[in-house]
Amino acid sequence: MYHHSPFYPHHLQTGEQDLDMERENDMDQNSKNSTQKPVKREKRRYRCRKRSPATIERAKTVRRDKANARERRRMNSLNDALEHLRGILPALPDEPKMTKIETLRKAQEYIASLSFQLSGGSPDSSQCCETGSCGLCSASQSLQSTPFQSPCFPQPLQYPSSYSNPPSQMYYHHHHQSPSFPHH
Amino acid sequence: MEKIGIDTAFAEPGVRLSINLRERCRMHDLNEALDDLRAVIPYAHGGSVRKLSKIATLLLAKNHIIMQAKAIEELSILVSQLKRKSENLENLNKSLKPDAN
Repeated sequence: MYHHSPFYPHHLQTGEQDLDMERENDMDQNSKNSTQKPVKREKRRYRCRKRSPATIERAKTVRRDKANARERRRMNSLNDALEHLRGILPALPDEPKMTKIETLRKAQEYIASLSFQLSGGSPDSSQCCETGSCGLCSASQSLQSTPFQSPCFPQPLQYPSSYSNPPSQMYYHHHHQSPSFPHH
Repeated sequence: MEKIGIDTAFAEPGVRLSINLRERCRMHDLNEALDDLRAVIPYAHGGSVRKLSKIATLLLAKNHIIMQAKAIEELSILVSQLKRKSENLENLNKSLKPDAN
């Protein structure tokens, strides 16, 4: 019987009794050749297989299991992405892990403050932005309504000469030692 | 954080409703924060049709932060280099000047 072979998909092997019935009918047709043609055509007309209730139940659980696995994988990828974001945000090492909503809010603040720095703000703006909203942060909010422009290098920045440590170095104790572009 | 015992909590419909309401508020706050994050990510808010998906905003936010930090670092290096060059030029200028007095 072909449905016992290893090449036959496993989840269909349980429906063997239905296939047996079909094959028996087939053999009956072949033995009584002369008068059976209309019945044979009728048998071929309906495309759907007859399935026992047990088979239907099994197929349902299989589908449910696959859907569960897919949803689990999706949630895992979502949580991984959130975890990456957590690792990259500035956070004190003794703080408990940021909750979901905390990371979302902090990420938005951090991006806004970085954008503000790049658009020619003071180098200290990142510190004051971390403590909460301030005048500079609200100014950067109005900047975000315009499409982001990459930093234009010819623009001279008014940094004090003592400013040698870029703020990015403080924030990388979690993840990287040096910022790198992830290539997808 | 237990207001009422576990058994009574499911018996009283009022408590169930308040739990539901709190969860709805929590989800609403979460989605609002996600929308705010979408607002600061470039090319995700320009009147284009589809809103960025959850996972896409998280990944793009991470990449954007990395890119901005790298840009800031490169800019600061460039600035310090330029400062050094301008200081050298100034020193050179001063050393050539004593005849002007």
